[in-house]
Amino acid sequence: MKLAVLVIEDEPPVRTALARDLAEFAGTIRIELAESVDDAWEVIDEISNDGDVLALILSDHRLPGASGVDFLVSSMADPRTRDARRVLVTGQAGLQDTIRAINDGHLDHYIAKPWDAAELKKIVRDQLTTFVLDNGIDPLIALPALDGVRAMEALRRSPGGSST
Amino acid sequence: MNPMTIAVLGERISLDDVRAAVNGQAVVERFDSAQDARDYLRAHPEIDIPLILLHAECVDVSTALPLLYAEPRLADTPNIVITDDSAHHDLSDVIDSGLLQALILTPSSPEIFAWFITSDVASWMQRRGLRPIAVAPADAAARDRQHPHANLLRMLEMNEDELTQVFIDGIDEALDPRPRIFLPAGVRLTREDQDVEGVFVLIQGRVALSRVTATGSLRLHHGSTGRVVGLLSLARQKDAYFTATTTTPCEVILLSIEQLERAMLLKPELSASLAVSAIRGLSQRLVHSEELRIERNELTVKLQHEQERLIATLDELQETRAELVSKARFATLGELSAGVAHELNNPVAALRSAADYLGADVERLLGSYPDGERLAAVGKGVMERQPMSTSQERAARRELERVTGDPELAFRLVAAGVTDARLASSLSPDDVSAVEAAASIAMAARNIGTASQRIQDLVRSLRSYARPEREAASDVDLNESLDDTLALVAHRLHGIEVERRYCEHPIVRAHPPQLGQSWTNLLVNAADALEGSGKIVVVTSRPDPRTLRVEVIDNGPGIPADLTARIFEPRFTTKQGTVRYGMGLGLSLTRSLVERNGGTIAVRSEPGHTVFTVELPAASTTEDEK
Repeated sequence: MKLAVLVIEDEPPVRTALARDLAEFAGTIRIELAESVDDAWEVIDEISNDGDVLALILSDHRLPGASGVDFLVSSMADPRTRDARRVLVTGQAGLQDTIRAINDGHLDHYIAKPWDAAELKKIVRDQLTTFVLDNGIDPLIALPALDGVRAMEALRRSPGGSST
Repeated sequence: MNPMTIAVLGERISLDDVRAAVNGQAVVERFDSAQDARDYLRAHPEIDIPLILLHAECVDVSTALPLLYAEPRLADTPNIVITDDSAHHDLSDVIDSGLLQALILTPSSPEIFAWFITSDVASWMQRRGLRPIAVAPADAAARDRQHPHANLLRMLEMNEDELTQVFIDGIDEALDPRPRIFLPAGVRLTREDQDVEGVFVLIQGRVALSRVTATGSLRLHHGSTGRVVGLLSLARQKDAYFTATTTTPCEVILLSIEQLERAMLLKPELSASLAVSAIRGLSQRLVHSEELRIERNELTVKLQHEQERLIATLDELQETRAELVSKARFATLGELSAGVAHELNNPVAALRSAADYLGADVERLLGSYPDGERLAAVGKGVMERQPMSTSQERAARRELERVTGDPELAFRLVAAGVTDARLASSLSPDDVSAVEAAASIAMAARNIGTASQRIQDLVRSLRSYARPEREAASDVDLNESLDDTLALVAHRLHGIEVERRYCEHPIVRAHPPQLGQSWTNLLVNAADALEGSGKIVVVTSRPDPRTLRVEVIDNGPGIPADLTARIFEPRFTTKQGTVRYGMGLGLSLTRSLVERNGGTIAVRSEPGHTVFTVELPAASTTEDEK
């Protein structure tokens, strides 16, 4: 089982840039890129068919068809996506959309474009760590992608290792 | 003079007594019912009825009187109802309709009865201008006549001058002739809240009453003064309530209270005329105060209307102000955009050529390396290949993962645009890393190029859009103008499908920024109506050689018919209280912008199909070009 990060972004240059920033996680974490909400659901099918777990969603708001906030809201109803951490990476979500993302889409973090690569990586690390700890997953399966301090502390508290 | 008949209803009334009373000057007839009396009248058109007598014990008064007075000839005929009961509860209808004129107990003597009858008949005759019959003397009535108070009713019928004359004659007689005082206008006869020591009898001229109130001096009507000034103050223990001031030259008599008392002692009938004068004054004031009250009510209603109008005006003002603020903001924004667009030009141009050079330099650099040819080919491939969909990329990555066994490398390669599994499998790990780096640089250069091209396009759109107003009209390609606007409002069209159907060479002579602003308003308007999903079709066409037409069509809910007529009015907005960029401000502004460029704008709408049509005169050169 692998943890997966789903990135939804419709503009290829932006998508490439995100991919490059996240490439260092690709050895430990399954990183999937989708260009639309429909494509994202296809990715979710693939992830769950492979027996992997979706841990984090990084979504743009402005997408062709359904918006990123729409996706975050509807993903709350699916058991495969419900527990994933949710981050909006956008330059264009208005106040109403953001309120809806927080209230109905359980948004965990908001990254404004243009983003800072180091900041992005730190947020991904933090969110993955929170996901692992909240869901009682063994941190060892994704340790290089986690916040070392929090992960080690969790490991120390349960000397036998936690069960998945 | 017509023969007179006194009508009697009720056996209890003695015809002999009535005949004796009128002493043969009128016939007396008894009728069994009101209908009989009317039949008799109809049979005798020459007859006058000066009096109707009814006995309540024999006739139902409440039905008989309405029936009798339905006859027009009886309209001014008085009636007397005779009863044995000392209390009646059944007369409300006839009193309410004003038909009952006198109700008496069965008279104790024929003399009194005769007085009742003759005095009514005499009054009736007097009203008709006939010489009245003699009124029968009755002991009580005769005695009353001697009493001065009996004059009260008679005096009430006198006019003001007669009454004043009677009063003055009486005073002169009692106290010797009084000296007349002549006053100019503006003399105060009584002063507010000061003692009144005497009264003025006004023989000629006019006096006004006033009183100081919180809102200033209140002047009462002239007519409410009365002829004996100060009289009413006497009733208020001598403090004057009003200031009485002459408003014309006046002739008055001054009487001290003592003189007044003495005059009344000597001539008791003076008190009656004084009382009448007081009643006159009071009733005039009462009428006047009623008039004032009515006036006040009318003023209150008027005031309310004014207030409502004011509130409406205030609302309008606030809306207009919001509109102005919005216009001003837009103008500022335009200036600002023009400046920003200008300033952006240089850095964007630099960025663009940097990207080009970067690509060329990298290619050159790679060529100088061993194995550089392959790396250069990889980079060129990345620069030139068609973009893949994300699902194609995923498939390629899985394949690379299978071939290389390294998920991170596979991810990096795909991200850098290297998807050729055969190439990846033929490389050593070091070579793979170099290939990935080369591809990555190429991809970055390509992305910089794409992004700076996009910025350049946006800047160009913004410049044509935000060109200063004062700039002269120029030839504008409507298709380009629409495309520029579409690029700028793309963020408002999110989730909306936009279809463009353009004709060729749609050139008009116009001010580009004004057209741009018009298209913005129409597009944003349509987007607002669609609320995030639906379709906008933008059409340019040439309905005739001299006209170019732009249609902006949306499949939103449509505009209600009663609103389409008003939609181009200033201040019109479908969202109460808020002037929004699209609605309201937009359309009135759009119309004025289109008209300033010699065009017209129209709308037609039904649910699912709303079309805004702008027609502009085609530029004259277009025909020559074709």
